[in-house]
Amino acid sequence: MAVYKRAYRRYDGPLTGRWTRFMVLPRYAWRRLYQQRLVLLLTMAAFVWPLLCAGFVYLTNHVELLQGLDPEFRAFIQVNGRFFSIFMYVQGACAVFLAALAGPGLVAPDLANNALPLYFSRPLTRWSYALARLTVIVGMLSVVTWVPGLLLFGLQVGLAGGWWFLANWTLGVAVVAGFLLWLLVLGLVAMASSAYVKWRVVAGAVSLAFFFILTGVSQMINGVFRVTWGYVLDPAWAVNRVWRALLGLDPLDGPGALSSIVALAVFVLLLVLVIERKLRPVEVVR
Amino acid sequence: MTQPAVVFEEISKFYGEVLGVNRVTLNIPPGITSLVGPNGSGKTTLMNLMTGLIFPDHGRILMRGISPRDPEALMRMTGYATQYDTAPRWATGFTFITTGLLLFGYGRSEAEERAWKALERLSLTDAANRKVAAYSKGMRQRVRLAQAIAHDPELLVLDEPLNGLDPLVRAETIDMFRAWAAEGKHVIISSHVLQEVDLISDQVVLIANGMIVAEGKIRKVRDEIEEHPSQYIVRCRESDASGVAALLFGEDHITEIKLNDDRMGMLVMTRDREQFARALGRIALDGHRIESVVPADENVDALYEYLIGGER
Amino acid sequence: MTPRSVQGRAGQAWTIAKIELRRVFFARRSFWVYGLALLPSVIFLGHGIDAKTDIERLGRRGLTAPALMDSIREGESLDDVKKRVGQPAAERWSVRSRRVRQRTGNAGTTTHPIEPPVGARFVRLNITRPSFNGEPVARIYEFEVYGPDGRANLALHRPATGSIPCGQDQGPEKAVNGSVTGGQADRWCAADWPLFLQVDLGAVRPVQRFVVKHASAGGENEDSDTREFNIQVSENGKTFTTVGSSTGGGYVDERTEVRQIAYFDGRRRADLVFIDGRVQHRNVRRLLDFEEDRAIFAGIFQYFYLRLAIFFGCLGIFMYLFRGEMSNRTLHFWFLAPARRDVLLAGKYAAGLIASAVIFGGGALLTFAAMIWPHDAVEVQAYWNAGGMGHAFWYAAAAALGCVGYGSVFLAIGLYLRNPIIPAAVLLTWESVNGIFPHVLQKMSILYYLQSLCPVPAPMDSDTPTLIRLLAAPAAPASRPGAMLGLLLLTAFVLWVAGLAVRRMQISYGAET
Repeated sequence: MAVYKRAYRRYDGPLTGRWTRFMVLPRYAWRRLYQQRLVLLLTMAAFVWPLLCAGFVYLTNHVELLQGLDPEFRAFIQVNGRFFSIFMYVQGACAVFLAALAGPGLVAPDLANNALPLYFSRPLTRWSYALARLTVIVGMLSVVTWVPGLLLFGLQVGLAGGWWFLANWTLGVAVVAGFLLWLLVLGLVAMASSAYVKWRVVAGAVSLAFFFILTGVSQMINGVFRVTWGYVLDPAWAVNRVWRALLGLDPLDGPGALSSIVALAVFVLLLVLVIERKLRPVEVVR
Repeated sequence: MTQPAVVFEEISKFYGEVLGVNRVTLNIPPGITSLVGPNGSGKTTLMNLMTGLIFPDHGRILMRGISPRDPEALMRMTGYATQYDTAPRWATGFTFITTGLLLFGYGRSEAEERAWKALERLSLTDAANRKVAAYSKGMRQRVRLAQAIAHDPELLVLDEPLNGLDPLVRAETIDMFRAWAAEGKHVIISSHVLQEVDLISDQVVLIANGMIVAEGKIRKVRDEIEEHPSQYIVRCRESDASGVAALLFGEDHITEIKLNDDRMGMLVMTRDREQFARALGRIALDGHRIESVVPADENVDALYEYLIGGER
Repeated sequence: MTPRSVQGRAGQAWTIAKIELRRVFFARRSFWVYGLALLPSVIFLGHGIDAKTDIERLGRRGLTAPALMDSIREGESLDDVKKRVGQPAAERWSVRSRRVRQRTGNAGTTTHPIEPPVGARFVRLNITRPSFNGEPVARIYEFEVYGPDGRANLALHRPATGSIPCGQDQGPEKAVNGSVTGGQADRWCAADWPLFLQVDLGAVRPVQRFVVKHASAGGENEDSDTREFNIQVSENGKTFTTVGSSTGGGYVDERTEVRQIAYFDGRRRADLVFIDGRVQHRNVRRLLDFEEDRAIFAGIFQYFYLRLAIFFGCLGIFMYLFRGEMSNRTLHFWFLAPARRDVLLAGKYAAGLIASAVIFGGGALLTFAAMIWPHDAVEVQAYWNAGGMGHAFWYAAAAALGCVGYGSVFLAIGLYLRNPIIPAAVLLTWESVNGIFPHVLQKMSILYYLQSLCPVPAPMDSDTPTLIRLLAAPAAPASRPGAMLGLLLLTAFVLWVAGLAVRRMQISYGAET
């Protein structure tokens, strides 16, 4: 007969907070990512453009340095929506390459090495896991996108004064919101390709190819049908369109910001579906 | 004419800076040979070297006279059942083996026939048309074995072949090995289960940290280990045990005697087996009744313990 | 069958190829390759269906004479057009709303009347948003103050003070000097916060109207006009009251009524856009333009199909043959077969090649067919007679040879490197900038040969920047046989290099993810 010895007591002391627990995954992932030389190199390289832009901001705010220039040109090189849009273009492109480099390591190794059951047998839901992975890549990309953007904006405010801020605070919001949208798209593409293609070697190529191919498809449709709505199928174009609307720039030919946002929402939804289907701890083989 | 043998001449293999195997020299005759050693000692490395999946940095290998650099000739007479548990996702057990056989140049019908025979030998006919990915671990083990034997190879290299098999299949497989060994084939097995190694092997190769520690027939290996005295269990009739023990104590090659609690047996440790045998003979002829004399450590367990265990 | 003879080995390679073929064609992960290859044909098919339904739909409403369609001119009113040309085949009405920058008054001058007049000695212009383009610099060419009689500018040549000016010759006195034509030296310009300009009229006078001449009044860009400002008056110079200000936030919604109608003459469609009742845009185009479609096909073939679809499709198929198997830990099965390593390479390459050539060559033909399908039978027949069949053949051949070239390159890359991103990116860039390389280096690119095989040169938009045009155009395309020979030689070389690697390859699982 079994004798139950009531000697075992569960731990009932304080538990670490929910967010601390949540951040365990990202913390280790970030550490691992930045140990890779290539990631570090690319991140460093991605700071070159913000530094150049900061120099530009400094120049435009010290009018005495620009004395000799044509006044029309001086009016052109202002820190306004157009300046920030050029900044965001280049940084957005850097972010794509960084995502292709770092994205594959997100989910693919866990799937290939059958680690998902290990994760999900702990108090970690599928969605927390997915969110944690997304945080990894969004966090990593933030460092090269809206953080320098915000710093640039702050630099401009500091040099130009409070009234410039009152006049142009929408630009700061546009930079942050625009970049967050782009990072969401990038992060989901990287995660979906990492989850769908089990080996990281190809997942990176897939996330890069995604953007190239979708751009090609949208160009094809526009060319063959002689229309401009094809642009909406290209998430890079759609995000750019939203940026232009947020920054108050003139729109290019083609669908408006609203249709772009709808297309992006559909795109994001599809990616989330793919991720949901692939993040299963158990795979059934028939 | 010399027997065909598996010959390793001063083989070394480095993985970057880590040493895989170090100056391995082996001469393995036909029959069942077991590679015994702790995890990471280099057993799989040796097997991969034998079959040409990896190349040595130093030295030469001859498998029954054929170099592993010549897969066309070697693979025809070699079957390798690896420990890698992956199989192509599209394969059923039957197609898995058939496809492998097609590469040997057999026609489709002959390939299917051979595949079926191999599956029968390993009792997999029921599951032959199911996907390998859906097999249980033991079934996957068996299908790998089946693939290795389907083309009737002369040389079988099997990496932990009895791992995960239930006792009935295990016994049948061991019988299969014995039958092949009897036909003069090479059967090279790596194993952890020392009792089985004892049971089935003709030769044993002990390997630790990439170096060969001992090679040859079990008894011969034991003979050569002089540091550890041989252990024998001597069973006598009740009254005679202490008497026998007292007489044995007189011999100078005896190092230790432990009497059993039931006073009918003892464990004797002796440095010299020959003299011990003669001493026992004299004692028996003097009238003491000795029921049985059994060597207590002429098995791989003891060998492992003596040669490898201490180095941990 | 003696395995060591050449026939034996070839037979082995063929067996290997057959085994791999089944996998490449039917593996689930190959489906996206099919998708890539079929995408252009789906698009062309969609266009064909769209155009045909359009023709049918517009035709049902009645055809217009082509001459009448051509006679519509810009500026005509809607009623005139409808009366002369007839009922349109399609009509649409919408309201377009645009945010436009509010024009600063009339030619850069704003006027601010006060009713009733007030007495003031000090008049002050405060600027809260100095420009539309974000530049933090205020520019005022003239600040005029008028009394009830409305004739004399009370502020002319009066003492003026203000924020620190941009330069010595752009002080506040320039805003009351009575002229605006002197360029930059004729204006008050300041960048120091707070921005203000104050004029002392000398004595308390009744004032009724203010006129401010901003940057565009002096000939500068409208974007430099003052965006937000207000006008204050004071009798004693200490307490000020606001009497006028800029209107609006600078941007207003401009709503225009847009009407779009379309006429159809059986082949061409005239789209007219009426803004505020008058023709603003006129666009006549053929619904099915065979020549244009062929040019678009050529462009899509060269820019999408060759550079992207075949590139990435071959990347996927050929990288899997060795590197993928190494990742999946199934490569050792192939190495344990009684076949030489180069026979294995040949077999796998053959399988990948057959599969990709069939998929992409077939895809090219399918797209060609989809492009041709909706067009008029007479035109198509003329095209066939003029060598159209040859075009189709060369497109398919170029696609297949693209698989030959790219396949060998990616097979070799897969044998040497674990991660294909970097070499793929390098290759993509190499092929893209091929146009500017010296001739010798140009021959080391697969796309160079493929472009020489394409029957129709790809069209280039005239508004593509010169740099891109330079990069994308093939410099001196080789002759067709020369191109094929060059490609085959390049492929043979790459395969030989791959053979070196495969013979040295060792199984090292566990190093993969």
